[in-house]
Amino acid sequence: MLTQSPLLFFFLVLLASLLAGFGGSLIGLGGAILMTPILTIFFGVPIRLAIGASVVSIIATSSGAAAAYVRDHITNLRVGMSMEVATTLGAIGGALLAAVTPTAALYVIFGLALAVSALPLIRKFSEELPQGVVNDRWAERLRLASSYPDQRLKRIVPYQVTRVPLGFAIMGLAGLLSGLLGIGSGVFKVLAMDTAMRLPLKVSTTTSNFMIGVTAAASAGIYFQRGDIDPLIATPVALGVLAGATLGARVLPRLSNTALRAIFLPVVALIALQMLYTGVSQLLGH
Amino acid sequence: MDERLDDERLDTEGQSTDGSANGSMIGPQRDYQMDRIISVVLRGGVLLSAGLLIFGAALYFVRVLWGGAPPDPLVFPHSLGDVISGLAHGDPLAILAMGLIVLLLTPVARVIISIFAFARERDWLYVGITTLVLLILLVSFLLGRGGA
Repeated sequence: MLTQSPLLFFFLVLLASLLAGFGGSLIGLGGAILMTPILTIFFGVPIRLAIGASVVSIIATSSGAAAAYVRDHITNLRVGMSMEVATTLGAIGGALLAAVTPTAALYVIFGLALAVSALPLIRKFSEELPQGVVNDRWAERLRLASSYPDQRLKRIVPYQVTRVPLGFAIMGLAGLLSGLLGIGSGVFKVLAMDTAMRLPLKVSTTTSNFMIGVTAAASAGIYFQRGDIDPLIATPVALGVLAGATLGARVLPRLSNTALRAIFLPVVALIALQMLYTGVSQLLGH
Repeated sequence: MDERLDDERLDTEGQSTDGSANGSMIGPQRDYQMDRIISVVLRGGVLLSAGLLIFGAALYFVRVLWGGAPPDPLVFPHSLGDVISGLAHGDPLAILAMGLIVLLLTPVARVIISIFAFARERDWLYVGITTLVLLILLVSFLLGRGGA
């Protein structure tokens, strides 16, 4: 570890988590996905304990943010609940898989997942309000179609939902990655809802956030009892990311989005490369 | 159930044609209340957990700085039984673990409350789906205990 003093370690991790939570919420990536690389690269924390600490911070930020969105009636609770069946099952699989996955492979998969998660920073991969979507059989049966109040358009936007089985399958994969790497895998969840099921972007992102907490809880139980959640690491990470994300949400409306992306994209790319490098060099036995 | 769907459709159609919609008029009143309860549960769980974590961390560092021999940081409780017996002894690490457990249970509480909320709306399909999610979560906790 970086430091022998537990007090110094605690406050340095708290500070790093605060910055990650703040920056992560500004670019919409979530601070937790940055914490595992920061803990392993800068603090020398074993990757399993780093993942365990991140899982906990995901639950904190997801629950905090979801509370606000649910109150604003943007979240589609029915889509969230239905798709949680897939994400929790996937998360259990991922958490169990993590125990038998070699450390080097964890680094490589993490680097790849982080790189994919950063893609929306380069280009939005979807339309704001999808046109001409018609409910499929499953959407009818599960009554997934709904509407939400759009702040910018200043009207209620009704929408329908399609390709539910495809969305469900992608959700299972998102859950698997979440459980394996201790990330929220929000980008993959949004991909399922927005690209496959063609929900409006705002509904996809808020519903994804709503689901992240339950998904993470399914793997966190396994991590906790396995002894991968060290309270002295998980506590400063959870408190720091939560405080940083809350702060980020406050200042977000006052900041320009493109400038933020220009600042953070190279940082995220560098971190992803570092994780890949660590994994590959371990695989090659240095 | 069908009547409820029609309610929503009428509501949204009425709003969009009328053009003067405001954000507070969406869906039937029942959904509205459920949104608020879920929001309160999520917020409450996070705040309770943060309180425990701050208190536990403060207590831990007071012990480290003034309490003679520092506790071994590599030995920490990771089962519910360990945590509860640690709490009885005022172990700061057990308080931290308890704070983390509260955080972990917050989404579970949200799922349980959703089951009741759907039941009150007589939406049995979603009572079933949400109960399934709860069962999966319970299985995950049991699995964690089994595999070391």
